Amino acid sequence: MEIKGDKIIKEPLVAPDLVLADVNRDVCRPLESFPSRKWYICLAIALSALSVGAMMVTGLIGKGIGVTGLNQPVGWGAFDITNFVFWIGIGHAGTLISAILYLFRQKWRTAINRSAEAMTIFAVMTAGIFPLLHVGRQWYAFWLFPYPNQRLLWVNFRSPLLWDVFAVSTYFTISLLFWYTGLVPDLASVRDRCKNRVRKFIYTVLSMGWRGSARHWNHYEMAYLLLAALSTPLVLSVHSIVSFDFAVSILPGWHTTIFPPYFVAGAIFSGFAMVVTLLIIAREVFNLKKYISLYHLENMTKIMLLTGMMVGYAYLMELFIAWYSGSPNERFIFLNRLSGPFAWAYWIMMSCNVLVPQVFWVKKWRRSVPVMFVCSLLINIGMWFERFTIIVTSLHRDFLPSSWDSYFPTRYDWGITLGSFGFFFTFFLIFCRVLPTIAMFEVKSIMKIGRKESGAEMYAGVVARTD
Amino acid sequence: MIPKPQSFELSGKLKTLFGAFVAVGLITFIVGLKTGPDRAWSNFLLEYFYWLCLGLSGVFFAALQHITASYWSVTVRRVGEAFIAYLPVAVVLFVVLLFGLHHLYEWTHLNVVEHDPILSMKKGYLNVPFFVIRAILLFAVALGLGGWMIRNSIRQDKSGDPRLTLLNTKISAPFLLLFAVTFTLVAVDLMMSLAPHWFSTIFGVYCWAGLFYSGLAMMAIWVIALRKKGMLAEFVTDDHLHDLGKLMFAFLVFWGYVAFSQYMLIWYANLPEETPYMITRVSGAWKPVSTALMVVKFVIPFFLLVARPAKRRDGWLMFVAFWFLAAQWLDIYWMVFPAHFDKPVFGFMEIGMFLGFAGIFSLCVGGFLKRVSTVAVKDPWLEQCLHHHQ
Amino acid sequence: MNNKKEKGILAVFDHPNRLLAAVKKVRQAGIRKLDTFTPYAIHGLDHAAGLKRSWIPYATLILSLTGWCLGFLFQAWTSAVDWPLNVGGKPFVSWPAFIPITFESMVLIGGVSTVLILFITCGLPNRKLPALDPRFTDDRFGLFVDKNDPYFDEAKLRHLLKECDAEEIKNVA
Repeated sequence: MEIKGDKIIKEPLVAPDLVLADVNRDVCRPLESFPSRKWYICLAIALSALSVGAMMVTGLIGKGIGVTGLNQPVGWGAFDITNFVFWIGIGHAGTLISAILYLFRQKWRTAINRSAEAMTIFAVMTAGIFPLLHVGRQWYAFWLFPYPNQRLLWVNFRSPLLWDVFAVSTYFTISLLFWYTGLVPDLASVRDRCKNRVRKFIYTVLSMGWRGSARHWNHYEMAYLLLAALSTPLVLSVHSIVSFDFAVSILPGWHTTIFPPYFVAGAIFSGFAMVVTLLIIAREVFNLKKYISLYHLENMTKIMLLTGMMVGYAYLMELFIAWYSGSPNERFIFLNRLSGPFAWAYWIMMSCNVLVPQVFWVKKWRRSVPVMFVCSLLINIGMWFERFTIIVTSLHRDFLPSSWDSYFPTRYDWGITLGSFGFFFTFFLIFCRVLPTIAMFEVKSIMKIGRKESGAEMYAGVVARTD
Repeated sequence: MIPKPQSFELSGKLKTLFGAFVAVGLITFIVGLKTGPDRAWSNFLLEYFYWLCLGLSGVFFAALQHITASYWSVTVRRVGEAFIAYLPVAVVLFVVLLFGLHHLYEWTHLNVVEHDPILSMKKGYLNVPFFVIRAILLFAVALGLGGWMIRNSIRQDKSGDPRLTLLNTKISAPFLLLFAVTFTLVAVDLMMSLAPHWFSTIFGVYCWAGLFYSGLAMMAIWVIALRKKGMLAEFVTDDHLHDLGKLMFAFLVFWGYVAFSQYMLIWYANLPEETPYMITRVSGAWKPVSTALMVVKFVIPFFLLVARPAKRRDGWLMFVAFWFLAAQWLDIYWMVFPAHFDKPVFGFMEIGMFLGFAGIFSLCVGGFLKRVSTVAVKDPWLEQCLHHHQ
Repeated sequence: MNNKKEKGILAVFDHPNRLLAAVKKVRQAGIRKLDTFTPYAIHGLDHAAGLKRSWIPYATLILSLTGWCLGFLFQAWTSAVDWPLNVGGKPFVSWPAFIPITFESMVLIGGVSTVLILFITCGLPNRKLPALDPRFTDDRFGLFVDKNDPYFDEAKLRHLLKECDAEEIKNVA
């Protein structure tokens, strides 16, 4: 924002010299040309990581989950559940951008929502792997669903682990539909640009014959709004339910009422860090700086600052109430976090999640790409350690000192974690090649068409009603 | 073209009415102190916290609009800002509240604390001097930083200096941060420490959800009332009401989410440290109140407000806003009264005290709006706001 | 183009405001059978083209509430009727524990049916009607007037559309 006369001028959302026809051309370019060397190198790295993970998963399924660092009492191991919560959290930023910012009419979201939503879907897929591995006999994983069976038994609807099954599968389904609905008009754009017959056929099928009729737009906009309105509480519910996995227990450090909003804030926090990391690379590689400008990145750093503070509030509240409760178990578990054998993880979490985002108070650093990039990586590390801290420190020293133990991850833990990143990035890299990474039709609707008529600047999307 | 807002003044009739409310409140309070001081003080605390939240809600709303650089809200912001006029009165009433601490809070009974191992562990926090300091901190943030923000907004009415808007955007960030911390502490002090053994980490968020829930409703009432008088007619369209209504709906759902999270987690874990608070409220004589709270604060208004026309028709929205205020009262009643009473009590005392505080609040806000323009007329985003469409 | 269903006139515009003005004029001329094709949704165009607010929200609301009820009833039935099982001393119908899945089934049924209803009302997947011009998903705005409209008069329409600064006017047959 800057001041001109007695007006405040907001920064333009897309570079002002662009015209409508540029959007399709620029965004579709990666789809219509051969991939660059950089892309192949990235894909090679991702696939190597994925294959390491695949090897470890094979070993784990063959030998059983005892090969990981799980033990008594750390039965929820750092890696399977930590990674599950971490990846689910990553997904939340996509839904926040696509649904919540839509409801709040934050128009800057148009440049980033497509890739963020794609990230959501891949992150949820990645997250889903971990509980499936963790159940032990993976070939019976379908028992998680309530279906009439020979044992005449139903699943236990009073268990938060089952709530997770429903929450995660609903989240995946709705995110996918939301994403696909948003893609339809853009797929039609890609279809209409295709020269190759095979490509044309594929995009024709995918776009379902969309032709941009006014009647369709009328229903489309409404359905999109409704999906946003349904996704907004959905995204809150998903991470809340993940937090219930911990919070309904009686374990100090797990059972605390602030967990639901705290987990949601943390999820959005880490998700935004991941979006920033990915977009900084994507705008560079695919030359999209005119669409994803510093303004967008700055807004994202502001959200990171905000959600970082929310998480910080929750950390402080937990500490305060642990002291205030006067309960020796509560007090001990937090003392153990601060100064016990896993204190290093706690302090990594504190410094990465609370201190690091403070640099974003300074406008210069909010607009510096290297600063943002480093901070977003640190925040992701911090958020990973947050889940690690919550899980391991509460479990390894519970009520009975005689059953205390420590926790040591094995190569299976590390390998599968590495593999999950490979899995996620493989999908993301393929997405960048086959689908438009920016919601073209939404970007067009916020563009200034750049022509002045009757003194007023005309916007592409906004035409004032005259009646 | 920006229309000129009309000046506002409470009509003579209304002034008399609100004055009478204050008198009724004062009389019931004095009579109550003679006949049943516990009940009188419980009512005082209930009303104190209720109206304190409303007073704070306007400042919070203004800060939220500044930090997000929103333009839809420019025409309704001043009404919210006017709520700050109640806060100086709240400071005075806080001094009155100090006289009732002994009736309200178990932790002020030092002989009880001595013999209670848990309470004696909390002495470092739950003591009167620190209690006062925390309240002073909240008032310092709200009246200091918040007051500064609102003074800037009023100064802009004359100068039209856009730098004031940018300054307010800068102030709003630290304000919101400090507000979150200090409000949480005061909510813990005033409400949570009524049951000094009980604790819940979400409590600050719960109280804040209620604060904004009722604050938005109060804003809607004033905005619609002014609009019906023709004072905001050129400024506040149905589209603005629609946005206000949508925010009310959002915070209705948010309150439901927070309340459910708190209740379900305590119910599920069923720990002896936490559950007594809920058992008192969801069983026995208090059970109907808890059920009513859920239905009145969430279920009914959800259906009252879910449809699009409900948020756009001013009469209906005003009705729902009054409903919200009643529901918020029930919520705080639900927090305060079970701490001291075995069964629900309701009578002239509760009504009288409510009217008394309502009178004070309305006179403060009315007086403030008389002194300033009812719309931030030179806000740089006013013109955009006037052309706001859904 | 092998268009079997649509016959009429198609005008191409280079700016949404021109399209909007043209739609208003054409409707003033009494024509109702018209459609526009735009690369993105244009505010105010639905209104100008005489389209009412979409009715989908009502369907979504009803189906979501249905999902809510079904989700709750299913859990209550399995936990309390079909095989009552005491878990942790909690009541058979533990409503607080049922809320999360109840909510998820509301969102799932509400969301999936919203998308399905959208596709069905828009006639998607649509194999019969081809895109009238590939530029309508890029940067041009089209107005199509159906030949079957009682007020259809080709010469007059062409004149009118020309006045509205149509970039191109062509017959669709």
